Amino acid sequence: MKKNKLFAFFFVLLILILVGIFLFVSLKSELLIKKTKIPTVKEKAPVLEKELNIFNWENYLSEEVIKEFEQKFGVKVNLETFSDSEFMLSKVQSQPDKYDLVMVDHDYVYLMKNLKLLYPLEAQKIPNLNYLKKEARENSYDPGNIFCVPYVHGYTGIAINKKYISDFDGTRKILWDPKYRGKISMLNSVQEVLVSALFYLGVENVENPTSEELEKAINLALKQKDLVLGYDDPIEQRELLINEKAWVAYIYSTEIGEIKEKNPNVEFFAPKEGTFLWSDNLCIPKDAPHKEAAHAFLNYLLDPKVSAKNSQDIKALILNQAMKEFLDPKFVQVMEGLDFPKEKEILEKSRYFTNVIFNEDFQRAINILGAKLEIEE
Amino acid sequence: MKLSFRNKIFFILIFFGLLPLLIFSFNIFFLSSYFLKETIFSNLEEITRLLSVETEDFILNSFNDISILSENPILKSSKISLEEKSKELNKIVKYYPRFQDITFVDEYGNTLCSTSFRFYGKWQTNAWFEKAKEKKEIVMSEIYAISDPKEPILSFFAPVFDEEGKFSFLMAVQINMERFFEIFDRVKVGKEGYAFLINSRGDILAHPNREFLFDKISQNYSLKETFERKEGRAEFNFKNTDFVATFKNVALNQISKVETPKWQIIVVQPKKEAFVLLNSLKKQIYLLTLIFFLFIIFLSVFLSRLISQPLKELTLATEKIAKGNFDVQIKSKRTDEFGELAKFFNQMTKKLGEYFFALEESKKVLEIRVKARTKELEELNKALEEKVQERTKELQEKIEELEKMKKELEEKIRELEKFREITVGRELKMIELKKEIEKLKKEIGKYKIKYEPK
Repeated sequence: MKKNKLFAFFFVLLILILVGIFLFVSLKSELLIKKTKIPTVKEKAPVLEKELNIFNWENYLSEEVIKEFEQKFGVKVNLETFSDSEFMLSKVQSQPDKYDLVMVDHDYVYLMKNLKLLYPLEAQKIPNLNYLKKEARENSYDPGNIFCVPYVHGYTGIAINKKYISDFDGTRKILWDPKYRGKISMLNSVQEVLVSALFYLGVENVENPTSEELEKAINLALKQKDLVLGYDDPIEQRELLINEKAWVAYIYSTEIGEIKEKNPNVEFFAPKEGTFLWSDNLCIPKDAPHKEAAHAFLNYLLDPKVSAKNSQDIKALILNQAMKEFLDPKFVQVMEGLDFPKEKEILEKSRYFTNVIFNEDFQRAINILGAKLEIEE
Repeated sequence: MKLSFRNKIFFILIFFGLLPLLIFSFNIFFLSSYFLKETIFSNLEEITRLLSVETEDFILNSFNDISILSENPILKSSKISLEEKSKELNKIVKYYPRFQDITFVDEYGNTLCSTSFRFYGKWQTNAWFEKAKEKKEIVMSEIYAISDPKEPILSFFAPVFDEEGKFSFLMAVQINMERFFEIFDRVKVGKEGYAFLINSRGDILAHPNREFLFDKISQNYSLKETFERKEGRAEFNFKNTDFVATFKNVALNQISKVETPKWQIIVVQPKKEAFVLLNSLKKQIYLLTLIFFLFIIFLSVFLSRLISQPLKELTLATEKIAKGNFDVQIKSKRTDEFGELAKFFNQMTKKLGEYFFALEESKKVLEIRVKARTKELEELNKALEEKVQERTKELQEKIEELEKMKKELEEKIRELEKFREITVGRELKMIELKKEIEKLKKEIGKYKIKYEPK
C-alpha cells in the first residue's frame, strides 16, 4: 500500500511540475524574447578618469592646488580659460562633451540649468560639501546645490573714502548726492545701474518690477548720469579709489581686498536697501567625459586646507566655513564680509536677479537705459 | 499490494491527456506571442524607416538649399553693399520657409547682417562656426538650446566666397524647427505611441512633448549598442512608462564632408497598449488550458470508472459465487463487450446454479441408498453374531469335555509313572550294553577307513 501511495504522489508531483513550468515559461516568455533582442545596459563601476578638463575664468584657481591634485590623484588637469560667460555658454552648447568642470556665474547656472546643459551633482561623491557656507547653500538660483558648487560669492556695495566722507548713512542716497558730483564711480553694467535704482526706489518685488517701476528706475538712473565721474569697469574703479580720484564707488565686493591693501582709507558697505548678489559656481556639463574626476576635484577643492590655500592664492574667499583656522589672520581681517553682507537684514533683502534674462520688460528697460547712458560694457 | 486497476487507468489517461494539452498550449502560446510581437515591431519598424527617410530628406534639402544660397551671385559679390544683400536675404527667407533666419558673420564672429537679428551669440567660441571657418565647408550643428530666444535651434554654417574665390564671410542659417519637429509630431502609433529623435549622447532632440527636449533618454536604453547596430528593436522604460520601440540611425554622413551629428530615430509604443491583444490572448490561452485541464481530469475519472466498474461488479459477484451463492445476477444495460460479458456471466451463474442443484439432488438419492444398504448390513451382522454365540457355546461344551479327558489322562500318566520306576533297573543294563555296542562300532569304523580306496 505504501508503494502505491508513493507512486501516486510522484505522479501528481510530475504533473504539478509540468503545469508549473508551463505557467512560469509563459509568464517569463517576454523576458526570453527580450534577452535575445533587446540591448541592455551594463552598469560599470565608476573609475577615476586620468584626465580633467576645466574651463575657468583667468587666474581663478590656484596653480599649486591643481598641481597637488594632479599628484595626489594621478589626474592630468587641462585648464582652459574664458573671459566672458557668453563664450563659455557658446562653447558648452556646441561641445557639451568637452569640459568636465566649468565656472559658471549664478545667472548662467540658472540659465544653463534651464537649457538642460548641466549634470546633477552626485552629492555622495562630494562629502566635503558639508563645509560649504550655509548662506551659499541657501541660494535661490540652485536651491540645494543640485547642479553647482558655489565657489566664490560676492555682492555689489558702496565703497567710500573715509578721508573725504563722514556723513555716509549706509544707503544708496550717497550715489545721488550732488555734494559728491564728479567723485562717484558707477559700475559699467547697465543691469547693475538699473538694479541699484530699483533698490533705491524701494520696489517691493525687486526681481520682477512692474513696467511703471522700471520706468521710474530708468529716470532715477538717468538723474545719476550728471553726477557720476564715469561708468567704469572694475579695474578702473580700483585705480580711481586707490588714487582717490573717486571718493564713492558702486563696486563689486571682490575688488575691495586689493584696494584696502593699498589704500586703508577705503571702506566698504552693503547698502541697507539690499543689493545685487552674485556668485561663481563650479558645474559639470551634462556630457562631461570625466565625471568621476570632476567630482573628486570638487571634493578636493572643498577640503578646508585646500580651500584656505586656494583662497589666499586667488585673493578671494572660497565658500568654506571650516577653512578659517588655516588662513592668515591678516587675510581674514581684510577679506571678512566680502562674500556675503555681514548684516542679516541686508542679506535677506538682497537678490540674485536670475530671471532677468527671461523677463522681457526688464530686458527692454536695460536696452533703453543702456542706449541713453551710452555705457559700453 | 499493487496499484488498483482503476488508478492505473486513471493515471495513464491523465498522463496521455495532459501531455498533449501542455505541449499544444506551449506551442499556441509561443507561436501567437511571436507573431503578435512580430506584427507590433514590424509596424514600428515601417514607421521608423519612413521617418528616417523623411528626416534625411529634410536635412539633405536644407543642406542643398544652403549650398545653392552660398553660390547666390548677389550674396557672393563683393561689390554689392550689405544692405542690398540683406534685402536679398529677406526675400530668400520668405521663399524658403524652412529657414528661420540667415545671418552673415565675419571671420571674427561679428554679425554683418541678419534677417531677424533674433539669433545672436558668441560665434567665435561656437565649435561648428569654428569648424566651418577652418575647413571652409558647410557644417551642420547639433540641435541645441539657446537662451535668447529660449528655443531649440539647428544651424548650418556655410562659407561664402567672392567672385575671385576668396573667402569673404560665413553664413549662419537657422532652421525653422517647428517645420522639423512637425515630421515627428505627425507620427502616431496607436493611441499613445510616438516618435522622437536622440543624438549619440542620449539628448532628446525632437519630441512631441517639448518639455522633454534636451532631457537624457533613460539609463536603461543602451546608446552605444543601438548606435552601433544602426537599427533594431528595443524595450525600455522612459519617464516611468514601459515602451516597445524600434530605432534607426539617421544617415547624415553622406551629405557633408565634415562630421555631422549622429542621430537616431526612436519610435515607441507603450507596452500596455502594444500588448493589449497579446495579453488578452494570453488570458484566453490560460483559461482554455485550465478548462481542458479540468476536463481531462474529469474525463479520466469518468473513463477509469467506466472501465473498472463492471470489473468490480464482476469481482463482487464472483466472490459471492465463490461463497456458494448462485443467486447473483449482474445488472447491466450495456450493449458493449461488458454487457455481453455480464450476460454470459449471468448465464454461467445460472447454469452453475442448476448444476449445483442437480448435484445436490443426486447426492440425496445416494444417501437414501446408502442408508438402505447399511440396514441390510446391520441385519446380516446381527445374524452373524448370533451364529458366533452359538458356536462359542458349542466350543465351551467341547472345552469342558476336553477338561474331563485331560483329568483322565493325568490319572493314567500317574499310573504309568509308577510303572516306569519299576522298569528303570532293566533300563540301566540296557545302557551298558548299548555302550559296548558303540565301542565295537568304533573299532569296526577304524578298519573301514584303512581300506578306503583313494
